[in-house]
Amino acid sequence: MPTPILQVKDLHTEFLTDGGVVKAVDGVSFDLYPGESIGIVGESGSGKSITALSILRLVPDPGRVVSGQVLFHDQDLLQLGGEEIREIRGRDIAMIFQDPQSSLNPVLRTGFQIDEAMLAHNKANRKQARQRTVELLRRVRIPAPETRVKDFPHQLSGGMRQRAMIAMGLANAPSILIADEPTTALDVTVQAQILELLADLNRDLGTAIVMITHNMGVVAGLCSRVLVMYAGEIVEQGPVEQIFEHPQHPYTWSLLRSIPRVDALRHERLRSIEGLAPDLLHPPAGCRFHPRCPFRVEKCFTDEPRLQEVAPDQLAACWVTMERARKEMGADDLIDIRPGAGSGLRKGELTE
Amino acid sequence: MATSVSFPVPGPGPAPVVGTAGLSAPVQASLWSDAWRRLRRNRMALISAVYLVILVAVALVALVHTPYSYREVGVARPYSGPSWANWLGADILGRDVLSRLMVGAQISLIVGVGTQVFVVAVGVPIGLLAGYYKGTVDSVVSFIINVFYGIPDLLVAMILLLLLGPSLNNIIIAIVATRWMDMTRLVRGQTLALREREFIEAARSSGAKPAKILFGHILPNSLGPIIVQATFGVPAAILFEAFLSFLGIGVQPPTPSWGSMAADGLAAIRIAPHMVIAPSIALSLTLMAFNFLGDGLRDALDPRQKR
Amino acid sequence: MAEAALQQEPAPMKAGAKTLVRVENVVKHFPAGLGQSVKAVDGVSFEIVEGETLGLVGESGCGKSTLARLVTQLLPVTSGKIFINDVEVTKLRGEKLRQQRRQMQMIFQDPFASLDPRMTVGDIIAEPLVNFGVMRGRKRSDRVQELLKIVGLNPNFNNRYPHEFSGGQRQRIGIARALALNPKLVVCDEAISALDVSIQAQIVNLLEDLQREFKLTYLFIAHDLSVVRHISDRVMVMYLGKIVEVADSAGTYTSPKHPYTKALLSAIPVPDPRIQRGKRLVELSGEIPSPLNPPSGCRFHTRCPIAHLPTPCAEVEPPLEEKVRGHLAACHFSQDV
Repeated sequence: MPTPILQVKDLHTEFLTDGGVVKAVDGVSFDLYPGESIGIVGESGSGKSITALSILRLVPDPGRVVSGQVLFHDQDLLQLGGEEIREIRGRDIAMIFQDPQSSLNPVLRTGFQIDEAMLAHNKANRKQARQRTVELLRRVRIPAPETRVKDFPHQLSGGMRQRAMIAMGLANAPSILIADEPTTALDVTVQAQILELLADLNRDLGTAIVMITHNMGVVAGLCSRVLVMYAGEIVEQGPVEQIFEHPQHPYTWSLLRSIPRVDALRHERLRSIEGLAPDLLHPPAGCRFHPRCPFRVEKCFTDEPRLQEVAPDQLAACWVTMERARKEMGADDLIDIRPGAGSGLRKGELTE
Repeated sequence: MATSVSFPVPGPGPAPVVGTAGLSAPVQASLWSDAWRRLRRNRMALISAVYLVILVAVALVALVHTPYSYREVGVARPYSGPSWANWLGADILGRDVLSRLMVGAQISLIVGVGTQVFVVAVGVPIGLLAGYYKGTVDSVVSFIINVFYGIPDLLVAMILLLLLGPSLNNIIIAIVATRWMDMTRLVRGQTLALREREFIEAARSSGAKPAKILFGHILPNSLGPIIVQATFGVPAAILFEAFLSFLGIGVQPPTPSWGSMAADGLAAIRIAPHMVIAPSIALSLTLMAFNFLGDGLRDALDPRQKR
Repeated sequence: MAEAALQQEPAPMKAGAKTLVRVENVVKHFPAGLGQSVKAVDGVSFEIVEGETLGLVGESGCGKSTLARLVTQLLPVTSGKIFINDVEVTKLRGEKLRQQRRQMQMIFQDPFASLDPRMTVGDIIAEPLVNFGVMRGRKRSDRVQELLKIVGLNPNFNNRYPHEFSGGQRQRIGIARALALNPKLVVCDEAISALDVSIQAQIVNLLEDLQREFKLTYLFIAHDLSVVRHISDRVMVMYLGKIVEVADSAGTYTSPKHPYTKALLSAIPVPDPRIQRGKRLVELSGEIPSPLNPPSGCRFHTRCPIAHLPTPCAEVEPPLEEKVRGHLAACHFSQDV
């Protein structure tokens, strides 16, 4: 077993709002190994983006990381001084965002901004930096990079801007690239190209990737491991194939079944998850998913489940798990799920 | 819904209707009551509001009672300072300064609030129409606005007052003529932005007529900025009136205005500084109160604080 | 994929059904200054029959949202005709057009922007009833409560304000408003794109239930092909202001006849690691050309992997024609796709 390059241990990030304390990230732990590509999936408010921002201490006001550790090469990023964390950002750990428009300065030429990113951490001179910038732009497959370096951000298309952002992220050959919904704002054909690019970088340069996304398909294509977040907590984690084929947490299970598939063979009713994501000001007692869970039992209302091994390398935080739900509650027969213990419409019950 | 599975279920089984999960906010709250809640937490705005309520009360009391008549000459020795009989002293003709200040408050409030009523009455409809219909209507309105902005305020007011004669009504007209453009431009901008919003499209697609869209959707959604703008407009108008009166083309003697009182006092500032200080403090406090209240309203009504 | 086609349930045949919407050669150009114009929709014709769901997909800037606003006449056409229920709505103005709005309603993309924040939910849903003077007093408020129930919301929520609701709930309010007048046609413009995955499924199921119950006809616009495939009977693909392919949902997805459709399909990430990893991406070269100055001939030729250049693809515009029964495509070489 290699040593992890990044270890997040029991991370807690809170937001102090008018209504009280919102625990946006509530005890998240995971390891990232060199050259690995992990996905953090979840819906809005699940805490996936805040987890990513917490790692680089970029949590916006009024949020703050209240406890936990983020170990990078045995130093706790949460304990570093302002100057030291700035050194890490962009040099060792780079981050790219959903909206490249807002991350690029509109009045500076794109190439100049990438040069600057390099010069901020490097002793290279401007000429060497420009050479590398052109190389990087070629690497992220921007056509005619020699002329494109002189373009202003608004002269690039959305996909090109995201490529330029990735090039900037790679400027100092970081060992980790954190990508926060980098393709959400892009068209599918452009998204596919960006994902392929990220996969290539991961393979060729050995850059470890943390992919934050709500899109299960994106994770399926790019990542080897996946963490599923719900209401500030990791509810399930494990190898991608394992999670997609044998999800053990009812949330993962129902989420995967609620997505219409373009390769579906026949028209089936989508299994929607009823109810709403919990209000993090007043999270439900017990398991946070219990108000929406189709397989809950008594214990779920009061006791909070911890992550535990449910299969080799696969952890889930659930008192029931899908194995039991299948055996005892006939989970596979459910067409339309409802909160309760095995509630919902079953096959043959839907009149059409 | 009952299924063949028998499982120890404490929780409610079937969900009768989809998506009826409880709402996060336990009490229903309109955006207005939300704004009110925010405003109450703003201490300066609250103090200002209290001051303004007192000022209005004083102006009302002055309608029926002042310590002395504001125009009665020689109730005290000319230039005499504050005393038990005349709390704020007397002016050049021996008139009671406090009584004149109280009546002056009426003038200031009438001018301040009155101009804004007319500014709203003129600016809002024109702004709505220009913003909604764009095209020629907008070009014409924008042209007129720019012409008015091009001529100095004081010149417009002086010409109007010379033509119409200096009465309280005409002062209000003169100030409205120099101030209506701000409101028009604000409402026009609001309308231009709002008409592109999806809920306006939704209203059109559900068959709303233009009048309904303008007054049922765009106007209510612009009320916040309009109220803020009008609140800031009050002190500007009061100051302008004081300035006009200071120059002698505003409220005419013997009716007191804080501006003309200060002008009178300035001539005697060495022997009777209270004559300048009293109206100046009243003016400053009032201007400050309206500005703080406007600030508070802006923060309270700012939709950006809301999702 | 061929095997999949065999297993496919037969697409619901709506033959013989009445045509509800007929769009004839519709063009919409937006002036862009300097004598130029954005050719957002450039000669589009199609029909929607009663009771069907026609899906419309395409990438940003292809003109699909403009087309939605032309069909609902929120925007006037530059040229062409649109008939709704045999009424030529493109000819109507003012009050006559307003009366026609009763039968065509729209569900919007952004559930936060499409509801007036100053109105209560009850007033929002009642607005179409008020605008057309349908029902009054008690009857009207009963209808509002009924609509709330239909879309799965608590009927007692009618005094609340939109900001108290989540995205999915607000979208339900928007749906209730669209249903208030019992419209025939509902245009859903990216109606679920802004919602979370688990909420999307709720709304899709709701839309399907409502269609069955109230015999609605949908024009369902989205950039997410998987959702469109799921909900639609037929799917129409747009590229740069033109329709490039129309077919029943199965046909479009299992045997696309236009290279653009094929590229779009290959780009959708499938939530299954084994399939997704093995997938071959059809790479499109270059960027979407500017709608100010679209390419000559076939608009897709600048990015097409199978284009024969320069002729005919760069010179002759391929007509949208039937390639297989009921399957239209605009491509000179559809047999090579």
